[in-house]
Amino acid sequence: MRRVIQDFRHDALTTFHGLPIFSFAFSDPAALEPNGVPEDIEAWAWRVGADEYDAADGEEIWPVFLDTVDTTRVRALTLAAWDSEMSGEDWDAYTAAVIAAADRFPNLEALFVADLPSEMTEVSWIEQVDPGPLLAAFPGLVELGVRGAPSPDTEPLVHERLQELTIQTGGLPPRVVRAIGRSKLPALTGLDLYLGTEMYQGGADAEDLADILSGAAFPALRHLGLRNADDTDALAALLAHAPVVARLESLDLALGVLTDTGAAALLAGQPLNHLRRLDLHHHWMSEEMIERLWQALPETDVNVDEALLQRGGTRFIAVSE
Amino acid sequence: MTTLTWAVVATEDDPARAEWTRAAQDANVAAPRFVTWSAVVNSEAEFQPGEVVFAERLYPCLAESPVGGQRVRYLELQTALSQLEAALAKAGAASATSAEPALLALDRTRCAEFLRENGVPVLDASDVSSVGGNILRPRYAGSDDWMIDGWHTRLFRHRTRTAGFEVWRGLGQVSGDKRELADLVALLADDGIHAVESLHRVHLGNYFHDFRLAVVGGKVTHAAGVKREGEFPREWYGGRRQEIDRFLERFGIERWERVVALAERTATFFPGIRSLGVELVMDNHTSEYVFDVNPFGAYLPGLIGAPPNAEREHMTVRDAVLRSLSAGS
Repeated sequence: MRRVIQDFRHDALTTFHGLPIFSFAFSDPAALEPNGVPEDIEAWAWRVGADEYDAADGEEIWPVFLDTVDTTRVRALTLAAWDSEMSGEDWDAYTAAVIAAADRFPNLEALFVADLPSEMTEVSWIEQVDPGPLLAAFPGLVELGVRGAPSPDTEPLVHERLQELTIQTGGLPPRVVRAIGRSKLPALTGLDLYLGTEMYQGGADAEDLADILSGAAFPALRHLGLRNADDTDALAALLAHAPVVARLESLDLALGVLTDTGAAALLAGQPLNHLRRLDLHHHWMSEEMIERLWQALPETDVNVDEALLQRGGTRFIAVSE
Repeated sequence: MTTLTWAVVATEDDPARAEWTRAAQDANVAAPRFVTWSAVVNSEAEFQPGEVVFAERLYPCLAESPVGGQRVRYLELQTALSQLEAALAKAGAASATSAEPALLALDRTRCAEFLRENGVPVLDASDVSSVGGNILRPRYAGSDDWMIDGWHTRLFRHRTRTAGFEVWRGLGQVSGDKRELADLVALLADDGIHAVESLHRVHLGNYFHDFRLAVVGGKVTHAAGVKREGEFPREWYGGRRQEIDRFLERFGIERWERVVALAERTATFFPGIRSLGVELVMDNHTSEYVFDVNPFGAYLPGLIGAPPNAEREHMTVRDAVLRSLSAGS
């Protein structure tokens, strides 16, 4: 069963890699008294770093974490803020610290970078770095999540074992989308990209997505999420004829602005009956179109929650600023 | 090992079973004897003279699932607890979760009226239709739980092909508009909704907090702050409870002692409940209110800390209950 990273709207994760989060924000070992940390280290996803504004910084917390937790048993790690006041910044410093300690995490399977709620920093304010060096430092990773748009200088990723990649942004630079499409990730089965809006440097188009949609990029892909896009109708039209769809079990166009136009294009294209799941939640489709989808895909779990057409007014993606 | 004859009535899959077993080891008492609720309901359960019997939920809480059915489940629990008490009386066993106070606690509307009549501060009742400006919870609290607090909720309407709309619980926080919240309320209304006035909660660190206290044998043994905005599938309550330290720093020990006294006074109205959870809400000045009473004990998973002035030793709430019981108190 594929592990799904929770929808990002505003909150930090409460589960990751199928494990509940334990927030490690202690900068003073004495604060852990009298009983330290949970004994079942493997049973938690450890969120390490500042998890509230104007508290201890990650720079103080990270060494305490390394000293007090048997990190050889940590399977899942999420990184909260390095700088508690400017939590969108200093990801280069935090990444460097994690890479420097990589040999202390021989069993790390899952990593999420910038596990921050919007209360601490809006997603578009996060100055994310190229995740490539992190991947290189952890050859055993099978799941990577990143919140905030990676640097436009991001290079194609290379990793033998990575199965799940999620990048949550309010705007994913087209150049990064191309880099992802040129990545060498032979084991990748799940890809979720929050494409976002041009207002926040998003705006990937057909050419930027070509390697992903052709199916050439990731031969093992079974789930594709092109989420939170302000041109969801155009994406739907592309997917209607994209070779990658035939091998998918799950297609996700959620959190965007899908309308009847996009849904009709999707239905008019290649067969979708093989999909086990089609996630379209947060959309502007009509009741008639929802009925058409259900009739056309009787065996598919079609998620049409958050129907926003009746609201009227401006259409919007779920996550932007 | 201390001799203690005791049993726990719980469903086969209730995670509380493992917690009781571990607590028995920690408290150095005999392992619990588990009895299924189905055995009780089918009049097949047998108890021993002098045996102390705890009851767990007839329907354990589920993290992510459709919500609803609380009224029916409450009525089923009412019947089941009645059958349990009859079986205990017949055997000469003792209940640690007496039926009448448990059922009073789990009917939030009746419980609030009862506490108000007895001079215990509770939030004023509110009109359900004021959704968005008040706090809504299911009237019957015996199974899965939910809350619409102001504009915030973790509920959403899930559309199915066959059943129309169902109310589901999601892990992500949702801020709804008034119409969306009203739609949710309409779907939940048949089960009964308990509505109270909103309160600007105490703000500690960067978060609004309520406090959850465990009352064992009439005394508060454990306490922890509960972030109003936070919801975790599994919480760890080890280490220092920073929100208690922050509370003390801001308001002083006198107010904390008042909080503890309010929880202990509340417990006096629920005799026969060996382990009671009391949830309090408080403002940023001087007011505290009883928000919830849980006859199945304080939901403080893994809680090891203790309130100020108590010895900070390794002891979960269930561990404390068993030690109290085996000490004969």
